[in-house]
Amino acid sequence: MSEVIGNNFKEIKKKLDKVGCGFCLAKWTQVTMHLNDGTTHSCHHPAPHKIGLREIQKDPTSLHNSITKKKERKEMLEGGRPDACSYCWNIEDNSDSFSDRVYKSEEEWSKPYFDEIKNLKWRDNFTPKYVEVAFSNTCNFKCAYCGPSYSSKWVEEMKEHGEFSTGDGFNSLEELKRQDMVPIPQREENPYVEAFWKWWPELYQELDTFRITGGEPLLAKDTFKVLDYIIEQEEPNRNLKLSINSNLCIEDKLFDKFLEKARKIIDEGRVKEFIVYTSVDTYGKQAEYVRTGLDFEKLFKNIDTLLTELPKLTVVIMSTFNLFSPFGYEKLVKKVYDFKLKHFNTERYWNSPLILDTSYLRYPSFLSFRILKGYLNVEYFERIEKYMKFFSTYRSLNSYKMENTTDTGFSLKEIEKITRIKDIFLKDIENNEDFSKSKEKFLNYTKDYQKRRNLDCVEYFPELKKFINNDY
Amino acid sequence: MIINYKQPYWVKYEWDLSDHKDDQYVTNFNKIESEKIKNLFHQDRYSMTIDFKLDLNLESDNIFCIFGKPGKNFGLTYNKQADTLALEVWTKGVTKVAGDQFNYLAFQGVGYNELKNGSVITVVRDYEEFIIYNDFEKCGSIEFDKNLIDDYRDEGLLLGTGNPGTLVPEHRYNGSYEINSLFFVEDIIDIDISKKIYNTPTEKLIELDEYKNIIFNYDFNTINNQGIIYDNSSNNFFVEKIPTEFIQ
Repeated sequence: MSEVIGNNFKEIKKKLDKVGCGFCLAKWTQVTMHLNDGTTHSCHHPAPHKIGLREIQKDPTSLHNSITKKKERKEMLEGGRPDACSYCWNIEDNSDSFSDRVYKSEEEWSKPYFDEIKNLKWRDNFTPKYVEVAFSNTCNFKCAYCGPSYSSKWVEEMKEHGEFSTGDGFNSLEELKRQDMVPIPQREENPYVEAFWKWWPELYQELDTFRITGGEPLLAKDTFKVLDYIIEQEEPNRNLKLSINSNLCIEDKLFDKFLEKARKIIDEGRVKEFIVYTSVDTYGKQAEYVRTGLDFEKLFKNIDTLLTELPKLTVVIMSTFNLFSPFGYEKLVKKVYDFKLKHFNTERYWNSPLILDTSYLRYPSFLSFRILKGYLNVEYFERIEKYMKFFSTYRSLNSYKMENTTDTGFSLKEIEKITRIKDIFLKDIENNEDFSKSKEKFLNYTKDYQKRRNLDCVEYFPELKKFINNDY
Repeated sequence: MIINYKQPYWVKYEWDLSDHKDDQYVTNFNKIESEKIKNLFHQDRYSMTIDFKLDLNLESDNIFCIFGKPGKNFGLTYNKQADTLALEVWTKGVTKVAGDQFNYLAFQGVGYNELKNGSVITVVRDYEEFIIYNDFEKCGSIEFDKNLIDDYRDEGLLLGTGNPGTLVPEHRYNGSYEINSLFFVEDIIDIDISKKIYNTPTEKLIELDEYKNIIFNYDFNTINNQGIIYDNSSNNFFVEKIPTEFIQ
């Protein structure tokens, strides 16, 4: 971290702490709204909580300004630290690092509102600047690590086959019922979506960032309604950073419809930037095993089309590195590099046409790469890191503008994500972590997976044969 | 990749991929001359495989090195006039009185007609014997008494040249040809293993039992934005163009 940037964080932390040691602007400025099950959270770290129907009937902005959240804000303004925000307190209490409370408060969608928020009363509403919304859980995929809250295909499977034999209630519909978080099917009336549309005209004009997640957003009619709204505005919010998640494996007709709307929005300069987020966790058939519904070739064909047809667009691959990822990841990284070269131009919203953003799977833990400790060689990670470093570019993706194709490559940020995974793997070896229970669950899970989906793990992953047979 | 006339490459350095403190480019890496590479051919047992293609329309000296080392003739050479591909190497004299010994091993029956379509040549050293293979079929061997001369320990492996810096043009052995892949495996002389490595996609090399024996492995289409060729082995012996100050 540069000294200047480090000083900025120190400064904002000092300001925040002056109001209260738990004061965080993101509680006001940022929100993720799961309209599919009527829950909300600010920021994304605390668990989502249910929004009362009465609340949104009275005031649609309760999708963000819920009573639960207002109570947390009160605590923050009065010098407390809400329990729900323990993710940050853990970091602040146990390390010298800045927590997300600081990072998020320093963001350009937070920092300018410091004084305004500081002077608000806890009951006051605030219009968020960074909004993520899931309209529906309708999805044509059922990824191995996903679940009914985010995928209608998962709902169908759980209804048909019942619970997994992992013994931990993984993806249990009963558990969702108990928590009153059963997703509302798209075909049914959804009061939360209705509330959103009531609020939208006011919200839209004040937004810095709007990101649509899902389910598969391109299967939600409301996604296209948002795009149409932006297209139809006489005075669009040209400062808006618009992002849409998509698995990019929807019907061609729907993809073409999205492409044309995106083209119009971009060509007419109706947004400040337009980013498409997609996902893939490893290469080819192995990736298709993990993300049931994925057509690997189609995904990259559609990425290619987007980057060719929309020369300003950037596509980000959100890769959830999991137990199945290591064996094909190097090949995936090579493919991403080829796309970086092929689609480089100086017009993109972000420097690189295609970015590989690698996070790692935490839940369910039985699909975590960490359980491969003792089986997998750390060189798998080192090779990925080495390739990316060899084909790297400027240290920081967004700090410098690249000028020609020879500048293209992996950013430090993209590389660091792999280094982080390697470090976790090494630390597990050092600390002698025991993953035997998780492995047992994994074995039960893959057996069920095969029965339900007719997908034989060893057939797709011969590299895991000895792991599964305990022969190592 | 075509190696152009008088624009040869070398395998010489071990690269350090940590961040370069003085440069915003991460790709401007530090590197040090590798003793491992310098002494590569003095080991007892190894094999090296090269996939290349000749085109006599490209400019070349009459005799030129596919790969070589500076000093007395060393390497895989092609003689245009004689249409002969050969392994040339000097070994130390048997006695103090006797001079160094020249060893010449021609690839019988392997001429331009075959080489223009591309060939995979493997050179195996098994203690005091060199064995040569064309497309993984044995085509010759030669025995020698003592190790290679020490002159060869002074430099890395050169591609497309023998003595690029010499003032005597006939001793330079500059050539031009298309190179596809090159790998070196230590302690392994089984040609079937060389074949297996050759046929393994680079990202799957790690799954081979012999992965650690691979000292370098290049696919010459894998080049970064600095014109450096990637090493697919577990090492960082990247290939780069020989700087012009070393070329006459």
